[in-house]
Amino acid sequence: MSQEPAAVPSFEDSLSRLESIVARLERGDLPLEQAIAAYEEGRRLAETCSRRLVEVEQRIEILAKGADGKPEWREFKP
Amino acid sequence: MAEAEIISVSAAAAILRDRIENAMPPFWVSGEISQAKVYPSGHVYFTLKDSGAALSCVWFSGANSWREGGLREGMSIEAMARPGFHAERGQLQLIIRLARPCGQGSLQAAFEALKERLRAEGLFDPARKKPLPLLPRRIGVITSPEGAALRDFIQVLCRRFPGVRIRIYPSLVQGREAAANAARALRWAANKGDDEVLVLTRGGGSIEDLWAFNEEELVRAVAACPIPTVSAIGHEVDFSLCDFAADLRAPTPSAAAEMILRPCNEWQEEIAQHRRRLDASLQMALKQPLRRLGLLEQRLLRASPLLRLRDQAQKVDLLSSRLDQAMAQLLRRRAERLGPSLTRLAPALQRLLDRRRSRLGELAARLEAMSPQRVLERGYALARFEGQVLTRASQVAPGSELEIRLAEGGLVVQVLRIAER
Repeated sequence: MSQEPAAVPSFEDSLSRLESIVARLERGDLPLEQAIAAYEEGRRLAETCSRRLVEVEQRIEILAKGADGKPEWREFKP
Repeated sequence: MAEAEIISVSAAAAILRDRIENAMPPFWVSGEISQAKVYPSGHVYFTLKDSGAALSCVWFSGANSWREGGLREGMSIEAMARPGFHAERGQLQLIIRLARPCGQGSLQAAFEALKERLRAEGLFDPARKKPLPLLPRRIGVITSPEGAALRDFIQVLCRRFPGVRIRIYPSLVQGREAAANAARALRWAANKGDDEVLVLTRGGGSIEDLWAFNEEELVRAVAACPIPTVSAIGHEVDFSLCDFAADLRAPTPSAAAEMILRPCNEWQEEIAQHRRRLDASLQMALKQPLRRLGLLEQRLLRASPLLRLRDQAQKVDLLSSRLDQAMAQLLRRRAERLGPSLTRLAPALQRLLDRRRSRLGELAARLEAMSPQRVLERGYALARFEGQVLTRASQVAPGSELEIRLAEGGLVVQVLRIAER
């Protein structure tokens, strides 16, 4: 069973951070240095989010009893 | 009669029909409604049953009375009926003349009682509901592997999101064992699986078929599930106690798929929009400072202390040369009287002037250096590695990713090799 590393931020976190950065930049009251830093972080987050949309390969599995009686995952064809 | 007379099926049915329809006069019967169907023609078909028997019923043109009486599945009714025989299907049926509720049926009563008890315990509290993940990495589904519900569910998910990951936890969804079986599958999925949302689903059926989802063990398992749970049992009109205990109730299995997964292309569009807004707002953020910078540069040039100092230096030069002349005259006139010591004054003044001039040069250079943007505009680039500005090749290694800031925009590049010089 694959476990995602805990350090990877969730899609939710990345997206809501991205939203707040866009909103902060759009207010237009950030000093230039901070605006550039926020922009760079925003682009990184957008990249992370889009990657998340394409990286996963479709997989449908069903829980079955293996030969040793232990549960195992098998491919499921609908 | 030598031989037994042979009659047709229709003739036999006609005899049976005659016997059955005259077997007893119209009578009152009580029982629980199940499998009811109201047809557009206005006829209502249902089964009336108790613990020992079930009889098909037809209520011709009964639809209005059915609705006015608030009749529905699971309800106990008292009905006036006469026996009938439907020859084409060879089916015995009760022909209903009128019907009225007589309190609630036992299943319905059990449902209401358990619902009230669990509600009082707080199992259905809105505050307990967990939000669903925006984009679940893995979706677990507890259902029958053979059911149409699973097929519909998978089909909708795959259509919406090509990279979806689904895990199926097979379970009975009907019959005596179903509630315990589904509860076990749900607990197993919650403990051993790593799904981000769990869906408990089953296609439509009669109130008895769906009953497992009203049983206490399963309802409690749903409420206790630490992972966000969606309940999609039967059709739109069917409500189960699992629906109340789950974090989200979906009217059908397909609707559940739609509620837990937003189409991939909508997500892509949303993120693209964020990107566009980022770009636009950065341009806005840069506009004002760039204009101010331009203005400041002009003002600096105009009001430069360099210029003022140059003026003053000229003035000093002028004064000093006049002084020199005057002094020379004075010296010439008074040389004899004042002696040669006064001639040392001229070199001292010269030294003072030199110091002033070199300080002026320093200030000018510093002003020029204050504008890195102008440096970048001359074609220089600012290289950074892990946030550090690079000044020596030895700060990075082959393979390092560098950020290059140019006068306009930037690059992310990778070091191929380190040049010696």
